[in-house]
Amino acid sequence: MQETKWLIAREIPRLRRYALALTRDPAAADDLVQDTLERAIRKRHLWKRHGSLRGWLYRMLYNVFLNQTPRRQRRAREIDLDDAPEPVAPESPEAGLLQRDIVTAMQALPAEQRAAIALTAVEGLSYDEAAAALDIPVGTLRSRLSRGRERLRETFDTSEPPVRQVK
Amino acid sequence: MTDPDTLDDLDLLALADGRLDDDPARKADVEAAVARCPGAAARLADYRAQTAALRAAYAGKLAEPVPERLQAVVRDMDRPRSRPVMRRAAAGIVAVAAGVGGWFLGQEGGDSSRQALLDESYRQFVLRGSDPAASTTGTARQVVAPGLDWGAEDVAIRLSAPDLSSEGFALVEKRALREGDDQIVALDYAAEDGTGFSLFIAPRWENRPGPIVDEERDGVTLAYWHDGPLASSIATRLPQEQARRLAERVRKAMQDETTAPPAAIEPDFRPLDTPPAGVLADTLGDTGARGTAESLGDSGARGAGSMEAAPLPAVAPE
Repeated sequence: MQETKWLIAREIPRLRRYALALTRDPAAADDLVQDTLERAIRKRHLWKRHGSLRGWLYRMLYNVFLNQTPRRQRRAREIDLDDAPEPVAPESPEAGLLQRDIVTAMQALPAEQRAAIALTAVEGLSYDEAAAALDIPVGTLRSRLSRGRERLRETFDTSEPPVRQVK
Repeated sequence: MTDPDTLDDLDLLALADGRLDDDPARKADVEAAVARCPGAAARLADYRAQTAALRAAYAGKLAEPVPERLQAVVRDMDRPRSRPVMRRAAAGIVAVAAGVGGWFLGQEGGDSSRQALLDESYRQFVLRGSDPAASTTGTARQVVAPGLDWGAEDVAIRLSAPDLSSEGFALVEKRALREGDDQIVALDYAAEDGTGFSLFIAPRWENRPGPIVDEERDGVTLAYWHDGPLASSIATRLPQEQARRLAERVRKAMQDETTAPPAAIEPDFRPLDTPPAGVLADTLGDTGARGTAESLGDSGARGAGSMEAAPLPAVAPE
C-alpha cells in the first residue's frame, strides 16, 4: 500500500507537465491531474497489467482529458484574474519582440498533435510507448507527429532562443 | 544507403528525438543522407531546436512543488475505505498481556476489569498532565518502555495507532505502561488548538463487543469500551459530549486498524480441543471465555514456544 502510494506520488510532477501541455492552463492542468489521480487510485488494482505505471497514468490522463465535460473545459478557459499567471518578463529586450514562442506555437496545434509531441519530445517516451499512451497505432502516432512538427516549423521561429518557461 | 530524395520527415524526427540511437547503422545511414541534402539538414536542425525549446519551456514544471491538493489525493487514498484486517500490519504497536491471571477475563470480569482500566487511565492521565500537546515539546519526554520479559505466557496483539486526522488529532506520543503484569499502551493525541486526549489500550480475552461507557472525574472525561481482543479507554478534558463522540470515532478507527497477532506468535490452543491451525485473535474469544484459568495457562506456555522462534520487538512504541 505504502509502496503504491509512493510510486504514484512520484509521477505527479510528470503528469502535471503533460497535463499543462494538453490544457494550456496551469489550473486546468492540475484539475486534470487531480481527476486522473483519483481515477487511478480507484482503479489501481488494474495497472500491473499495463506494464509501466507511468505509461498507464499518461494513458489515463489523456482519456480523462478527452472525456472532460464541456462544463469543465469551459471552466478551464475562464481563468480567475487572481489566478491568472503573471506575464513572464522577457529575458532580454530583443526576446520581447518575438511574436511567438514554442509554447504559443504548441498551443495552436490540435490536441492530438500536442499530445503526440509532448509525450515524445518532452516526456521522452518511445514511439511505441507514446502510441500506447494515446491508444493509437504507432503509424497514426507517426503521422500526427509529422504533421504537428511540420506545423511547428511554420509557427515557431527557431532562429531565436526560447523566450520563456511555462509556469 | 538512404537516398536524400526519399528521406522523409519521420526519419529526421526519429533522428532529432534520438530514436535511432539504438540502431547505429540506420542512424549513420540517415545522417549521411542528411549531409547530402541541405534542405533535410535545415529541417533536422529545426526539429532539434523545437525539441530543445519544448524541453526547456516545460522543464520548470518538474521542479515545482506539488500542490497540496494533489498530494492529498495520494496521501488519503486508503482512508475512505479501510480494510478491517491486516491493513498496515507492519506499522504500529504491540500490546502484550503477560500472565494469564492478569488478563481481563471477559464476562465474569466485566465491571471490575473495566473499572481497572478506567482507574488506570485516569491515574496515568492526571499523572502526566492533561495536555499532551504541551508535554511533548521536548523530545526527551518519550518514555522508554521497560524491557519485557519474554516469559512463558505472553501473547501479543498488534495494532496500528488509529488515524484520527479526520477529527483534527495527530498522534504525538506512544508509551508503554505496566499495571501489574499487564501492559497498557498509551497513545497521546493532540489537536492544533491545544486540546488533546489519551487513548489507553489493554489486551483482554473476550470477543464480545461492549458499548461505550463514559464517566467524569474531576473534570476529566473517561470513556471505556471493548472490542475484539482489546479493551480501550480515552481520557480527556474535552466536554463529556465531545469526548463521547470522540470515543466513537476512535473506536471506529481502531476497528479498521486492529490486526490479528502475527502468525509467529499465534498461540497454540490445542489443550482446549479447538482447531490448532488458522486461529486468529479475533476468533479466539469464544474459546477463551469458555476456558478456565488453568487450561489457559497451559496453552499460554505452548504459545511461548513459537514466540521464541521469531521474537518481536518487545513493546513497540515505534
